[in-house]
Amino acid sequence: MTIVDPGVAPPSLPSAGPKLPAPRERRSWLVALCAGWLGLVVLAAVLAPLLPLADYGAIAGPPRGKPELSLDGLLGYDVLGRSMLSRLIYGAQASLLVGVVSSLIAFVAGSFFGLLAGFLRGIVDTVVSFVTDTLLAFPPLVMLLALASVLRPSISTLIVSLSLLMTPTFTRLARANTMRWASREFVMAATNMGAGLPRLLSREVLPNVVPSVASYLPVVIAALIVAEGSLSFLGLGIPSPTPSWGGMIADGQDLISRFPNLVFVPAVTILLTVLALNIVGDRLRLRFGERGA
Amino acid sequence: MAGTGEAHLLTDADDTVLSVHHLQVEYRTPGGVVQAVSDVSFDVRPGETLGLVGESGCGKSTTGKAVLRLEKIAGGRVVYRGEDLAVTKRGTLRRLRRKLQMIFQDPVSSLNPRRSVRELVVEGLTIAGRPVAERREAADRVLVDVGLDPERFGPMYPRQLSGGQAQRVAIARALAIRPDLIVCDEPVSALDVSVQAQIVNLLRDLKDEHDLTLVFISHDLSVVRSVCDRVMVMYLGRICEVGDVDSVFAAPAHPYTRALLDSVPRRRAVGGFTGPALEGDIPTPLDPPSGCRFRTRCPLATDRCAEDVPEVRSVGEGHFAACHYAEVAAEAPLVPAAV
Repeated sequence: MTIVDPGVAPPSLPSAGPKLPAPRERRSWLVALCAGWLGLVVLAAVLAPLLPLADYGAIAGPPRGKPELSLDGLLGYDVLGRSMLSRLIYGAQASLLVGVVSSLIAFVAGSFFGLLAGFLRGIVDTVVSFVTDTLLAFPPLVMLLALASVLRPSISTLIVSLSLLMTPTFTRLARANTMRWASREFVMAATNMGAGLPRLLSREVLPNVVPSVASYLPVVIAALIVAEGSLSFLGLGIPSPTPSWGGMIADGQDLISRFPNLVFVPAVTILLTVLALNIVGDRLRLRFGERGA
Repeated sequence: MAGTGEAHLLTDADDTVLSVHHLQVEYRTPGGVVQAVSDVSFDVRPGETLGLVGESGCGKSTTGKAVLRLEKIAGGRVVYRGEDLAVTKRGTLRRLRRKLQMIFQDPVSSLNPRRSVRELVVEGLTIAGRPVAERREAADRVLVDVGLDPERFGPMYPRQLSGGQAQRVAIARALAIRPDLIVCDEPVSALDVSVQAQIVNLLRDLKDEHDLTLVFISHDLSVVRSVCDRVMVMYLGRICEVGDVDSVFAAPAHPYTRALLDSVPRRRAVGGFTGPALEGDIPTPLDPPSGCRFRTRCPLATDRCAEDVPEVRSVGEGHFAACHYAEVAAEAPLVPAAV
């Protein structure tokens, strides 16, 4: 055969790479701002030990001290006189660690179960779906309280409970996406070329499922940061003296009318971070969530 | 119509690439078990193109997929060069499947969107663990074979291809592992008419160049007429008529085949169709009519058609039909029941 249809593909197409022409970005300055805030929070959390800050446990100023023009006192001092800024930044470590690690564990576990259930169907699907539905039927707070009463409170048990809480959500997402892709004819074509189950799952289905499932990560991280805050408020969060955003709110709640900055500083930080995660997450979902192709 | 029986099969199995006996495929649905294919037998001879024709839902695609065991076979035998695929073990099946390839209707859906064309076309070789150099060489070869410039199209991704180009890639992928037989499941139905001709011609050229045997599934009679050597007409999971393309199209012996041919538009713009339209809809496969399955829409149906399942029988040289009244149907002009 000779080449019969030169020029059929529009010449404007990029010559290589899987890039889509970017959809019209609306309010991209807002997304950039949110991404910037998230970057700042992450950077502060990672670089905390290098910053010239007082130790988060050390008394650095007067108890409940007003904000002042020094690095440690920029956001005031807490009930015991510890630097609010220092506690906020070290708190970012704990809050982000809990949110991100639990989400990632839930993402990996959920993708695994969802992939198997959606691809194999039958008894595997029945079992996975039953467990998933059962876990989703528990009110989240009740489940967390139940887990907290059984497990010894620490960062790792908190991560275990929160990832257990989110795994069913990711399982459902992955299962639905897997079913959508598994019925595509390229999977059948691969089967017919001799591909076994591991290859079908890892090379054909998974690469198509991961982007849409992963695009929910930011939103879930946001939800878990809030969940950690709620648990701290109930005294079941990250145990002191390790600071966390939720813990700071819990510490300051009694004095909210006289010293509102004790509560507002961590609360506004959580608010901004969760908002930013949601906005960035929405943009990611628009980009990757429902892409058919 | 209800083609059971094997009168149309070759007696000498050495002359066939693929021989299907009493194939049955069932689907479990909320309404009960549907027999998508019931008691279908046919054989495919080396180097020929066998057309599978029928309206949607008649089981032609299911037959094609079941032959490659991409559908679960509920009964019957599928013999490929002496080995029964219906009962063969996983390892043997994997080896045999590489000789039996498939081209799908929707070319875009049949290509993994996350692979480049170059990766896609040699997927079979990758699965077989062939070395990179061989794969690269094969990719260039098959892309040139299907008329795509490897330099230009190799790095592209499926969404950058037109339907025709994507179907060429799918054909190249099937060719790359040097198959014996390719099942083409409506390979041009999703394409523009101008592109259809290109793909049909390409398939015909490749068939000659590579000594392929094709099973060509289509509802488009004109396409079937131009590419197939023999044709098998199906209705509700059974065979109506099998025979050389010329004799089936020139003298259809089954009322359903006649009706299909009559529903092709005339060449003149104001000519309408070549014959009366078929009455009614295809019955539900959940509860197919007794006896001949076509009887509910057949102008020639009698009480006998409700009781006896017609067997496939010879109605001429290399021409078989499953109708009690094949002789009448072949000669008398069909008067539609309603006129």
